[in-house]
Amino acid sequence: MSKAPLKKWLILIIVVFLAILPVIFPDPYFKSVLVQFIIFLLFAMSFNILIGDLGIMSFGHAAFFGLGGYTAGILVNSGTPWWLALLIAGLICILGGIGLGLLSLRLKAIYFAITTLALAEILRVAALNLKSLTNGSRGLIVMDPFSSFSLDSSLMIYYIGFVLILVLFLIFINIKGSWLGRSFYAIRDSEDMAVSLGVNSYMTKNIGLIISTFFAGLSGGMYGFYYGVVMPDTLGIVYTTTGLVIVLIGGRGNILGPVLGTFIFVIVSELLRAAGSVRMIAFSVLLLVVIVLLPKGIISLFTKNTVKRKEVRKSNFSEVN
Amino acid sequence: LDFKKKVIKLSIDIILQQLLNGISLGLGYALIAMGLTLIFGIIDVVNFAHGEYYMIGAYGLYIGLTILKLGYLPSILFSLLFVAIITFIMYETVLKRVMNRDPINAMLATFALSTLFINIVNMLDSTPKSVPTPFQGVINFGNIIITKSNLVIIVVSLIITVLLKLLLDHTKIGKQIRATGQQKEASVLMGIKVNRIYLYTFLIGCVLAAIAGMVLGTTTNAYPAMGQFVIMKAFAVVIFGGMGNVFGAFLAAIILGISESFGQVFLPGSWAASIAFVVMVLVLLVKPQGILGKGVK
Repeated sequence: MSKAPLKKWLILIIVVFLAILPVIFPDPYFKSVLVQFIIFLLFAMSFNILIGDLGIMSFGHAAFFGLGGYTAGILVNSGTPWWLALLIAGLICILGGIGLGLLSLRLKAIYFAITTLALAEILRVAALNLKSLTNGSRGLIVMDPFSSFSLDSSLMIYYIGFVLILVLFLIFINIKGSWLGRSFYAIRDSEDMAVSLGVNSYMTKNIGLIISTFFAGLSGGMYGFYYGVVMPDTLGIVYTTTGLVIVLIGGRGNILGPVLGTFIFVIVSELLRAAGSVRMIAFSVLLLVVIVLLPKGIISLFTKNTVKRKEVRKSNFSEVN
Repeated sequence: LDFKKKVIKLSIDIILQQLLNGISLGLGYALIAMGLTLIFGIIDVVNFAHGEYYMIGAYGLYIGLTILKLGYLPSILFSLLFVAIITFIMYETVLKRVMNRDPINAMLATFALSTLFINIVNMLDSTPKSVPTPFQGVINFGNIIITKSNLVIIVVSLIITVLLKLLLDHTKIGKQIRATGQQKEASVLMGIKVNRIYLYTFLIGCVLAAIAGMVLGTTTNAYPAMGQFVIMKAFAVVIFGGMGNVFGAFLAAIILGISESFGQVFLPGSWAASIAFVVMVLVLLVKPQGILGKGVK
């Protein structure tokens, strides 16, 4: 308990440091890396709510990333202010999430996983075909919504993302001990047990999905603002894989996991920037190693319950044969 | 208006032609989907790398024919052996270790393997390769035309389905596989080596995908993302047929193939490709067990 105030100070110092970071180092390359970090961190944190906190697997989370990107982009192009465009993008993603939830959250987890994959594919086909709205395979050009601002637009995006990530952190710190957080973890650890103890698993999963899709939509909208273009591939498997790699390498279910994961992801992808396939090979090998040897991600090396995890693994191994 | 015109134009010939196209399309899907649903039914793992075995099968045939310059039969055997070895390595090094811990981990592992395989091929050579085939040209039945390669798809798919049925129903290994799928613990007690049965199931499933890749690869070329393209369809077929139900998948594949082939006549653009997903969504809403009801493992 005596450690708590120290931890608070440390967190405050880190937050302030990150807030002034792009001002201290105004190098454009460094700034672009930071913005990339913020956008993917927000996306990965929203993904982590599903795979980490609720234990439900999605293979189409990029559907919401891309949907947010397209919605915000189309709105900004028609003259909507950036904050309204982002908000509407988030709300549209929530609608999509509710539809997805109604359809497949009552069923076994595997159906949900495959449905998400299909949803992403349907949206990708739609983005390719609805040319009047999305400009088809050439991608939607998004106008810079911050051009009339005195602040540099990449800085604006950095701070918007920064605030959103803080909000997501606060949400999670606050619901962790509440009924909602405990229902999340109960469902993740054993859905049957959770249901038998009176947790409304369908509703809880839907709430998780709504929070997750909202922030995924926001991160997609910011992606569109920053890069100025949203392609149909933004809805596809590459971005889902990116999210998965970040969350799993960092550590799913841990709030700091995605932070570590995004850090590793951004560094590796900057190092291997030139070689597209080699980069993906590196990530998939890293992913395989992590899944086989460290199922809770690299962050679990730094947390305390390592012994417990080993025991669990041993008992699971002896169960078979 | 355009739609009405098309309806008027639709004669018996076109209906029969599309029916035939649909059947060959569907039987192609069936080859891929049966292996996928078998693996799911027996091991409870969704093999997201299934499409990549399909791709490797097509590349194996291509390598055998054009690089190693073997004949057709040796090339087919080479491709099958290649896929079997990769499956064996994948099972022993990755899947065996993650399967019993958490089903999510197994799914993720196959997902990572899928990305790995695609990008390895992409790095080596990403240009599409045309796979040579002795079956070129068309056969005419009156006004109806079938390409010889489509005929091969139909014949191979039917033969493989019958063989799979015989294997699962009438051999000792088949019985052990089904027993493991029904009750893992009881099978262990009966002296079945479950781990080995899992390996066999993976091998059968992945070899089926490779056969599909060889047969369909001759019509579509071999390219790194070819598996991604069909795996979505295969998932739709698997859900439509009931997850884990091999013969449900066979039936579902044919129905889906026929609807897609008619969809290509009626729907604009590449929308026909999404029929599979619409069907899948409807099945999930109305009858998640699939068309044949409860999964007959």
